[in-house]
Amino acid sequence: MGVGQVAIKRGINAIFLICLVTIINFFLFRVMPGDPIAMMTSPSITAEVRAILLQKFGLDKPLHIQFIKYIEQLLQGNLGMSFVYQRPVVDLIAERLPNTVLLLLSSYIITVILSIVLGLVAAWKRGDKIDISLIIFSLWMHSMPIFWLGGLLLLFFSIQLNIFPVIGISTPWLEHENTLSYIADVAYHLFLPMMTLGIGNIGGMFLITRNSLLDVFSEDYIVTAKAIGLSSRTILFQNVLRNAMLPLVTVILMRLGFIIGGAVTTETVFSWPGVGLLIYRAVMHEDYPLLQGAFLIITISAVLANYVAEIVYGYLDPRVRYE
Amino acid sequence: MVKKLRTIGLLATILLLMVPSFGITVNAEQKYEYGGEYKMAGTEDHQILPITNTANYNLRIFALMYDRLVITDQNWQPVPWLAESWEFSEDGLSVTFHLVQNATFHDGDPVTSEDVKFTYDYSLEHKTPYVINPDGDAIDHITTPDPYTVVFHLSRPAGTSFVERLCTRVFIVKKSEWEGVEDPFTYYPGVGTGLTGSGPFKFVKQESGQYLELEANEDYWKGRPYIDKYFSIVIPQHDMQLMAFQTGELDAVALNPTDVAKVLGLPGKKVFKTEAPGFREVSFNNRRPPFNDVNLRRALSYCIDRDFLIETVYLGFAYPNLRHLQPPYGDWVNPDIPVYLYNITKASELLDEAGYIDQDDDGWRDYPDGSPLDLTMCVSTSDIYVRMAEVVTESMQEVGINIELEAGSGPAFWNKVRLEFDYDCYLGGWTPDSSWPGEMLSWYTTPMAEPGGLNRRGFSNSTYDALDLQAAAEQDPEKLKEILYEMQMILAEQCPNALVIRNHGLMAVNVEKWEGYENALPFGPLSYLDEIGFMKLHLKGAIAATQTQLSLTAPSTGTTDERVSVSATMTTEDGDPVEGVYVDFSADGVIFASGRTDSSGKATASWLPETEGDIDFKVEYLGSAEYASCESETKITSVSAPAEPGPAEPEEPEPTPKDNTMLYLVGALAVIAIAVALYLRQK
Repeated sequence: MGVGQVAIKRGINAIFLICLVTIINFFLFRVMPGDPIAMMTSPSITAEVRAILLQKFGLDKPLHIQFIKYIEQLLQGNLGMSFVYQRPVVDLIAERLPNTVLLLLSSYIITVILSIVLGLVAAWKRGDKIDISLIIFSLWMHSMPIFWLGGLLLLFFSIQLNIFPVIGISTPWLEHENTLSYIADVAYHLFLPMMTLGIGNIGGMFLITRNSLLDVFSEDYIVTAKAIGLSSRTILFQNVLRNAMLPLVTVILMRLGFIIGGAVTTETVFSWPGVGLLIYRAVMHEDYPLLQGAFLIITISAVLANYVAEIVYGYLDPRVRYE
Repeated sequence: MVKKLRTIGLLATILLLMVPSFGITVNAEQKYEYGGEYKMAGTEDHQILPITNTANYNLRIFALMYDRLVITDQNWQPVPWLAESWEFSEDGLSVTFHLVQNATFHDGDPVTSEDVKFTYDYSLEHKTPYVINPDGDAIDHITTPDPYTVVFHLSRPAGTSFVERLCTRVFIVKKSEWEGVEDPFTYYPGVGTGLTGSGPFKFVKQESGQYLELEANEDYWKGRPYIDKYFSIVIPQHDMQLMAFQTGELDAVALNPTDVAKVLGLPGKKVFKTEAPGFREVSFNNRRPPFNDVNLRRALSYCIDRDFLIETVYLGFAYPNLRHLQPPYGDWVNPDIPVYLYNITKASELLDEAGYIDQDDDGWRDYPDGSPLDLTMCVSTSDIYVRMAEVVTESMQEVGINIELEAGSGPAFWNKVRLEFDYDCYLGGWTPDSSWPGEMLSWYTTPMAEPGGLNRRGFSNSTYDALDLQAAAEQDPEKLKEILYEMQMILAEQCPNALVIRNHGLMAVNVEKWEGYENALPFGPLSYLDEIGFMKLHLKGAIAATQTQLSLTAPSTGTTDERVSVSATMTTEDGDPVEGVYVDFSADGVIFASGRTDSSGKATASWLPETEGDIDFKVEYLGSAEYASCESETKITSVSAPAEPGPAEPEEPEPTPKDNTMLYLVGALAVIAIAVALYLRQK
């Protein structure tokens, strides 16, 4: 089967998957015992107001009618009105998505670079003290809750040293003279959340890098390369790293899809105006349309990343044959 | 036709004459420099459409952007605002508001009676949350005899509640802007777009998830606010709000009792506390056994160890609550009702008398008919509530009641408590929405006992219901007082709930950069619905060299729970009295009152010693462009009071319970989706 055919076949799979999750999303939030009205208002509303609000948001209708309406709207690209914000969900997500992508991509770059560098060092110094301490460090980071790490960084850098801001993506009351100063302001605000997420996610990626490198190290052609007297540097960069890159690229791409939903805690701790914060609020208030919208985005990004990883893998490694 | 000036309004005017600090003519002339950005936190984006607003959370913004006919002032009294006066017809079937004539919207158009009529008509037509109450329902139609007169014609006689419960909650919008909007619930003017109000601040922009920006309305009809800009910055987590306050990214933050110690030592920051109305209670489920028995309700009402709760759970930042109305309601509180002080022996005796004795020798009391009495107390998972419930259930167990704690959160739990009423008793809290004294009392009536209603206790008493209706239609304060006294008496005798405590409104503010803070009821300086406070706030500027001094007059000893009067006199070096400045009285570092000095330089405050022992008592003036700062300190030794405390008091807003169940489930869903994706990929 050619790569083109595979792309189409997998594409259909992906679309099917997205549809399935969309349907599950709709029912999952609704079958749970809940009362979105109570969550969006102060507890002191009267029964009458409650009934009116239920009607306003279409929650008084039977589930299947709500579902048909939802699908109808979805096909028109309308994700509905958020209960809490009383604004179209599409707008809300479109506003927040760039912020999330900025945070996630920048932190992901940190994670990838650090993991590869540290992974190389660890694999090269296998069994050495450096290797052991790096493994311990990465496992420690892996097991540390992100919100805790974020809190610690905030306490140290913002409260103790007072060199980084605690909140937000930019300084609201600053009038920026030009784009450059605005970018600098955003970068200043980005630093702590980026480092938190970047370092916090290092664990898994580091271990994968190290192990893939070690696998390659034990290959016959590396032994051969050593035997013919190639320098360590040449072996490391030309032979080992290149071959170890294959599984790494797949993992890097696949994880990219999942991190969109993975920034909820970081965004909450740093008051970062992204999709994660939106999800947090939507969960707190049982804002069905917003939850559905946000989860649709997560689903699409996860499935898409997988899809891309799969196709790219085929290109990168000619040995991979699709059946 | 003889029209009666609304009596509370009159009372307010009299008070205004007596207490200079009452001033509602704000900023008529410029006294301070304009400038500065004031920054506060919000947990999420504010809604910007006052018409469809559903949450109290947004009221702060509306109060700044829009005007209301009537507002409540720093003493929590209704005062004229957009309406300069109002009167009821003799039969109570109509109420006429006279509007101020110089009010304009932010675009320069005058605010007229047409706009007022439209706002109410439109809200009623679309049944928006804040007009759906007994007073809103009473509106039959509205007429506008001239551009500055609005007459509400009512279908049944209305009383003072009409003004206090309804008119202080409805923000006047511009007719021409809204009349084309068919359904306000699906209306959104566009990203970052605001609407035209007539309030002291104008909308600038809203960045979703980041902040809302307002700027001073230069042409505000009551004078321009001194602040240039106001920011509400989105910070979802309370801990992060506190951090941002510490680093100066916020100028004010609301505090929990446990935060006070963290803020007290910080330079340039002060903590204010207020006697907030409202309370924490154990609501008994009056609908079903065993709590449909008044004897059991009464007996268990003696099991609330308030002093212990205040000391351990609230770290001293709370008052005991023994009455259904609290001191911020002043004279409306019936001082003669029976109260239920902590008394385990008495509780046991009452239980014995009522026949709740241990019949099967398992160590726990049983129903009088011998069947086992096993109870559960529900409480939200919020830390402070759970700890409170632990203390209360322990006392109940001490008298032989087999009661367990069920801490819950999440929709299932709230359904049980709010809609299905499937619980024995529930520990929770209430805060009133308005200053009308009958409001909280109306939360015990039969119509309110429906699912979703506020009478979760299910208390139902026909005499009480009738009194509630009378109260809503009563204009004469003396008669209203009688009715409310009687209602309070019924509640005290019937014990639909056991009253626990009321905690303080606690607010930390930046005093290094800003001055003009004034402790305001009900929830402290700059609490929601405090446009007066925001208009007085101004940049501090250089402090003048004119030296001043303060002399403090306070008793050297006090008794807990007994109010004492304290006063301070501020004079210049030469001994001339300093008039018209605010001095702050604090106990152990927390400011509990701000007093304005009169012509002899004297400011007074009343203080309730809460803890025993030596208390650092201080009065200070923080300094301004006119006068240098000064302070005076003393120590007051407070001893514990014997038995019955003074006018008791209650509580404050119940924090929205955090619900993580959904988060986990949602996480699980994501994992499933990923697993499926991986599975398909493998294939």
